[in-house]
Amino acid sequence: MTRTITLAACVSVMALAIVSADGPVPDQQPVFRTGALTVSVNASVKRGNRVVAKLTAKDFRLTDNKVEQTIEAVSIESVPVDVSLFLDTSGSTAGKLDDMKRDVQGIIRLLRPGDRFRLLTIADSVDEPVNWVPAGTAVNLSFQAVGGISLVHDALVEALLHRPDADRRHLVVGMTDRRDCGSVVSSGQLRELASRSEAVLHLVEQSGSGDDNPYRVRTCSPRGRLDGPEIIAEAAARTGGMLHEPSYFFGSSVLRAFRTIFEEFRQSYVLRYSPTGVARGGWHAIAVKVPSVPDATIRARQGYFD
Amino acid sequence: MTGPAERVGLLIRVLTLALIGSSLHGPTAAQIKRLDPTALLDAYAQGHHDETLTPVRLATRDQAREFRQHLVLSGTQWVDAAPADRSRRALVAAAFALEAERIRAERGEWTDPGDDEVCAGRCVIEWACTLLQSRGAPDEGERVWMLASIALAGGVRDWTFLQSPLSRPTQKTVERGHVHHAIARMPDEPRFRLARAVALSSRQPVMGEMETARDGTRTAQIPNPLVRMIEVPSFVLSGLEQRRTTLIEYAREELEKLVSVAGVGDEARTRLGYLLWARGEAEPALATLRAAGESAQDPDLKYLAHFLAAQTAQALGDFRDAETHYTAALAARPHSQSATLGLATLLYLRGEAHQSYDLMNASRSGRPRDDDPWRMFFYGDFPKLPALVDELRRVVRP
Repeated sequence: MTRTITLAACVSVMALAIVSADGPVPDQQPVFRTGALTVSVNASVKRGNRVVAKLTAKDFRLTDNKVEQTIEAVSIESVPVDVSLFLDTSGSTAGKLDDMKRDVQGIIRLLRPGDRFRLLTIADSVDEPVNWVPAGTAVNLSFQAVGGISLVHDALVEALLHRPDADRRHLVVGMTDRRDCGSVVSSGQLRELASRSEAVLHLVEQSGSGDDNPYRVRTCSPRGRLDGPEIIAEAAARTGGMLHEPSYFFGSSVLRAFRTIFEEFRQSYVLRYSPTGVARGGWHAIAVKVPSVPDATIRARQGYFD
Repeated sequence: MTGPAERVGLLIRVLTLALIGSSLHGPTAAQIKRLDPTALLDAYAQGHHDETLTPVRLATRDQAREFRQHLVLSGTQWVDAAPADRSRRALVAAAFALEAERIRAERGEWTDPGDDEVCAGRCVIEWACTLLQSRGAPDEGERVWMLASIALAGGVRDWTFLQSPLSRPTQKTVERGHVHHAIARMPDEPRFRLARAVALSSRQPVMGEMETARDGTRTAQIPNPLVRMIEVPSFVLSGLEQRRTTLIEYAREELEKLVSVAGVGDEARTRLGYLLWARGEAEPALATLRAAGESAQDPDLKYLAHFLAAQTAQALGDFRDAETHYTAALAARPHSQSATLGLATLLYLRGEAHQSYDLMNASRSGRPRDDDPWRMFFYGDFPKLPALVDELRRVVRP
């Protein structure tokens, strides 16, 4: 298998473009690609609640900035997965901690031989109580919730910065209320970084039941922007993931959400292509369609920064 | 007219009554038995510090609240019970009260506006402060206690307790607050003056997120949508803005005065740099932080100054300079998380994913175990509290 050159690495050999979140920065003379870069796009295809399987490259139509590309598609069902799980252990979700710990044990049991797992938590820093372990490994979850700062952005960035081996895929699942304070990385930077990541980020909402006491030592400061939670959700969408909100009837079950996410991820496709005929620099909007399944719901990376 | 000693005595009585009166519910006999202030003070005075604090740590919220009131009542009696040893006993009681309040603050019980504790931790610290003042001329024990109590209040960001009002004094607004007691007692201790400047400057709303920084492009602070939603008459806004500007100018002047003072100059310069940046004055902020990074000898301060300089350079769109400062920060404190994350993100967004990954990986295994200075920046001297408490214990040990 040809080793995929990550998008971010390829960007490094280009001139440092000034990028805009709204669209590509106009160059004086557009420079068109000749196919030196390979872009990977995870795409899940569902009809209703059922995954559409056994699709091939011929079934997909992918455009990069509205220019149709030639792609190769690979089902990744058999490809081992690196799962980064982020547990928001800040004070605001403290009431859910025991449930979340139980769910983590359940998640580890769902993984297949060959898969790997790690756990990130937040206290006064981003911690990694479980460093990459093979599926099935018993883990000790003795950490506690810590009130005060809530480093959601920093933890998600640390998760997304992982570089899996070429024959593995990376899935990031964050259980969080998305309320950040004290992070070094802004929500905007997180969104931009997610746009360049080949990992798929899913968020499982874990809100309330916590302790937000403003008279505790090291209380939340500085607070993130008010629309930060929406931007974090947008970051997930840009990777082809999404925000999973609590069910009206069943509440929030991380394990149930993870089972859905993992099944969908395992049965998704990797579409690879070398951009051709598109100007370099800025934001590249990606659109994926499956014409043979017109009523399909397709979730895929929304684009990338170049 | 009453003299200073009478005034202090009166203050102790008033604070005692305030604490007792703030509870409408009497403690049960079992609760008092479990947390007997006199017995605990005796044990603490004998040097059994950790053992003495264990029952306070294990107490329920209600038990701890009752104990707080009984400590003030019984504590005063305990101090006065041995006139020959009164001075040391007052320091012991103050030290014990501070450690007990530290435990409560860690549990989020410094104060609770919805509860029936009117002033809670503040009152206990003020009670202890008046006990110390009643001993006569200040000594080393009192100095350390003052520093520790200021550090504790910083940890809960209770700036109005330390300095009030948080504005330039006028003929009508006389400055007061816990830090003023300290300055009045020991005017030559520059850390008290710095604590006052920190309390003042901390009223500047901590800057919200910036728009995503881009190389070569200056970014801006994100406006708070709530401010735009609320229709406030322009004269009110301009009045508020004027008041805030006056306050910040005052805080800035105070920090500028301290920049050349030995022992606190580097921290004052770093905090001045941050204040300027938070006000949107990025260029002078960067110059100030650069100077702070060069002059600071303490690794934590050097780290902070360079970290803040990197963030400022990033906001100015100078990513090369930001990288230089992040690197300098990490030279002062290798693998510290905040600068590592800042630099790794910068590199990743520039397309250097490999370097970014390697940086994060190395940081994970080599990270210092102590608190990251940036994560503690907003809490005044709180990071120094453990060392100050150790020092206080040494002073009160028999």
